[in-house]
Amino acid sequence: MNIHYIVATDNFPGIALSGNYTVAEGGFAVAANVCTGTNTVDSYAFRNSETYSPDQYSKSNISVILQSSNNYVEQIVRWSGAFGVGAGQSGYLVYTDGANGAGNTAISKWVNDVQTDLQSLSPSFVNGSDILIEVIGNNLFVYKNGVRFGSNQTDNSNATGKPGIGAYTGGAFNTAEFGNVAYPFMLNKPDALRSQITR
Amino acid sequence: MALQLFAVPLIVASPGGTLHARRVPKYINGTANSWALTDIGLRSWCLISINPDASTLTTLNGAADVHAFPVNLDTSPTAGALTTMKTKIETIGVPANDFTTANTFRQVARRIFQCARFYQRHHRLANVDVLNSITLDTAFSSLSAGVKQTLLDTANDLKLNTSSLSGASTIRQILIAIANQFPNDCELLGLSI
Repeated sequence: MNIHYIVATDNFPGIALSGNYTVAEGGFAVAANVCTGTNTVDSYAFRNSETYSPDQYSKSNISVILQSSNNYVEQIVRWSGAFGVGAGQSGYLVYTDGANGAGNTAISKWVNDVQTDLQSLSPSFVNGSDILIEVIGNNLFVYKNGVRFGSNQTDNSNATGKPGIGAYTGGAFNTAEFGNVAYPFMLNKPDALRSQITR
Repeated sequence: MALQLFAVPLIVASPGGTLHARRVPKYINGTANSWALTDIGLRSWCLISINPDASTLTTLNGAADVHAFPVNLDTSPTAGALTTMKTKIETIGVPANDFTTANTFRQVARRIFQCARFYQRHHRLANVDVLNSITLDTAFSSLSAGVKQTLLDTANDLKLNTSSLSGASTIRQILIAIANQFPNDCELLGLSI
C-alpha cells in the first residue's frame, strides 16, 4: 500500500450524517455508528470540510453487503458535482455486493453523470472487510483488508475532487477514513517526474 | 488462453439487471472473464484487455464491430489486415492513416490508448464528444470558437505542448501530436502496451 496521510475519520456518531459531507445523490441514515444508504439506487456523499490533494484515498469497513437484496458498499474519490444537477457528478469508485466480477465488484467512474465500469474485480468482499480506493495521478488502486486487488487501472477523466462514501440501496458501512496518498518512490523526486506521473 | 486486446463497442446496460445503467463492454459484460478497459471518452468504444474463455473468444473474433489484436503485439499487419484495421480504428475516432505494414500492433494499440487519455479529459471538461459534428479531417481553423477553446483547455489541463500545431492542423494531426507526447506507460489488466 502507498503512504497514507489521514485527513479525517468518521465513526458515524449520532443519528444523521454530519455536515462534513455534501450529498451528491440519494441519502444516508446513521444509527449505532453505522451509515446506511437510503436510496433505491446509488447514494454518494463527499467530504466538504477539509482540503485534499488530488492524490487521495477513501476507506471504510463493510457492515452490510447482501447480493439477494442488492446492497452494495461503494468507496469514492475525486468526487464532485451532484447527480442530475448541471453537468452532473464525476468521480471514481469501487463498488461491491460481495460477489465477484463486474456488476458485483468493479472499479468504475462517473463523468458528468455518465457511469462506465473500468475493471472487473474478484476480491470476495464480506461483511467486516475493509474496502479502500486510492487515486494517484491517473492510477487507481483497490484494496481489501490492506491487500491490493486488480491490476493497475489508469484513467484521465477526473483530475480533482473530494473523497467520500457511497452505497446502493441498503449497503452499510462503519469507520470511514479519508486522506492524501503518495507513492513511496515519489518522495524527494524532481517535480518534472511528478508532473508526468500526475498528468 | 492469454491476455489479448480488443477494440469493442461500449453499450449502456444494467449489470445484474439492478444497478444504475452504465457503460459496459459489448459481448463481455455478464461473462465470468476478468477484464480492464480504457474508454474513448464519450465515444461508444473502448480498448479492453481480457483473458477470454473459449466461448467469449469465439464471439469476439466473429463480431463485425470488434477489432481483435493478436496476442503477440510485436507483429505487424499484412497489407489486407492493415486496410481492415485502419477502417475500424478510425471508426473509433483514432487516426490510423499513417500506419503501414512496418508498424506493429503494439504501436496501433498504444495510439488508441494515448488518444483515449485526451478524449477522457475532454469528456470531463467539455461534456461533448470531440468528433461531435466534425471529422478527423476537419481543420482546427474551421471549428467554432467554443470547440477550439475546449480542445485547447483539454490540452492545457493535460500539460500538453501545442506549439507545433496551427489553424491548418486537422483533428487527425492534433490527435497524433497529442498521442505522441504521453509516456509509453500504457497498461491494461497487467498487459503492457
